[in-house]
Formats: sequence, C-alpha cells, structure tokens
Amino acid sequence: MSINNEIRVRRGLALTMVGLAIQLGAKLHWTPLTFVFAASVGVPLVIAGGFLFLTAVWRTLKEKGAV
Amino acid sequence: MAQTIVIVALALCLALAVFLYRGVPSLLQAHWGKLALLAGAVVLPVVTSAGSVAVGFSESSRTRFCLNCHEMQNHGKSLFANNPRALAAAHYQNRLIDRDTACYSCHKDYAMYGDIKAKLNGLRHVYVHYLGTIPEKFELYQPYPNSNCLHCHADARRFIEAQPHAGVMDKLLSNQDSCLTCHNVAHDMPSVQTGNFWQAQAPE
Repeated sequence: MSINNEIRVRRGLALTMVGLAIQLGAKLHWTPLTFVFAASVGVPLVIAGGFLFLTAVWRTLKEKGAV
Repeated sequence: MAQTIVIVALALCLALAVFLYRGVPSLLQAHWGKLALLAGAVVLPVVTSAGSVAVGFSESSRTRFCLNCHEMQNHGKSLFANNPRALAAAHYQNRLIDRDTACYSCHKDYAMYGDIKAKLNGLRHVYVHYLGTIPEKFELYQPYPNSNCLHCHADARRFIEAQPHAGVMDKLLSNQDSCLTCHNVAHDMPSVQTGNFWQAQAPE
C-alpha cells in the first residue's frame, strides 16, 4: 500500500474515532440535544471514516491490478 | 441496560480504533492486520453506531426523555393529578399505558408513519427548546385524532358497552366527533398548580 493510501487509512480511522467519541460522549451525557448531535454528526463521521478506509482499499486493489 | 451495553461497545470500538491507528504501517504488511483494520475501521464502528442509534430512538420514546426539558415537567406532574377524569392521569395511574412510555403512547399516531412523524415532531421540540421561543401555552400541531384512542379502546368492552357511546359510535369511529368533546380534560394543570396529587397507598 502506498504512502498516500496509508494516510487515507489513518484519516479514515481518525474520522471513525471522532465519530465514536462523539457518540460515547452523548451516551454518557444523555439529553435530547446530545442524542440529536450524536445521530446527526457522530454517525455520519463513522460512515465517512469507513468510506475513506474502503476507498484506500479500493485504490490499493486497483494499483495491484486485482480489480 | 441497553444503554450500558452500547456505552461499553462504543468504548471498546474507540479503544480498538486508537490501537489500530497507532499500528497502521505494520498492520498493512500482514494479511490478518488488514482484516483487523477492516473490522476496526468499518464493520464494528458501523454496527455499533447502528445499535447506538436504534437504542437512542427507543430511549427517545421514554417518559423520562420527554421530561428532560423543564417546560414539560408540569405535564409530567399531571400524570399524578388527583383527578380520575383527567385522561393523562387516569391512563397513567390505572396502568392503561406503559408508564415508561406514557407520553409516547398517547402522542404518537398509530398509522404507518406514526413513529417517524413523532420523531420529527420531537426534533422540532428540541429546536424550539434550544433555539426557538417556548410558547406560554402548549397546543397540539393538529386536532387529536380519535384513531389514537381507538387503537386501544375500539374493541374494549368498557368502550363498546358504555351507554354514552351508543348514539355516537359511528361518528367516533369516523372521527366526525372527537373523543375529547366529552373527555375534555387531557392534562389537569389546575391540580398541578395547586399540588393536588394522587399518592398510591400500599394495601393493608
């Protein structure tokens, strides 16, 4: 995997970590506002992180001619 | 319980993501490392987040969630009003509804999109609470539909055999006459203001 893709994996993981941290914080301080914030910001961040990771995997597979 | 499980799962996922983040270069060299990254960066966080949202939606139907906002607390107190004719109090005190979801049981429509509509209204409430102007007097967004009452009462013997219902049954079923025309005390706020509450007595 190239350096660029390694950075993408790290970025994806970083977004996932922020998303998970937001959701965890919301669960520990459970109010209507934190629930809305976790669902509208935390969850999309986790999805974006996963998407970045899968993009990096896809690029690597393409570089290797696997797809 | 479900909230606790979600908290633990989120904490574990977060710890795993931090661990993986620190070891990305070496993990990318090994086959099992790539699988661990896939699990820790995509599968587990997405599954846990889905669980978190599902539990959140379930929690947001609870009475204690609605009463989180101080402006709803008098309505919460009205569940204990000493007035058997007040609908909220009668349903709560006689256990006609699940006490944990008292608000939701009566204030959500039982139609196909009732849950979604209730959640969107809840979102509106959150907006008004934090960013809008809280009205002096609360009003429903639309007239209270009989279908919400009939969802439970339509085939109940006490409802069917009640004499006052006999002459207006068709109109009640078709929503032409509102149940609230006669059952006109929903939340007994005067009792809340005067502190006239019902207290359950332990059987002797």
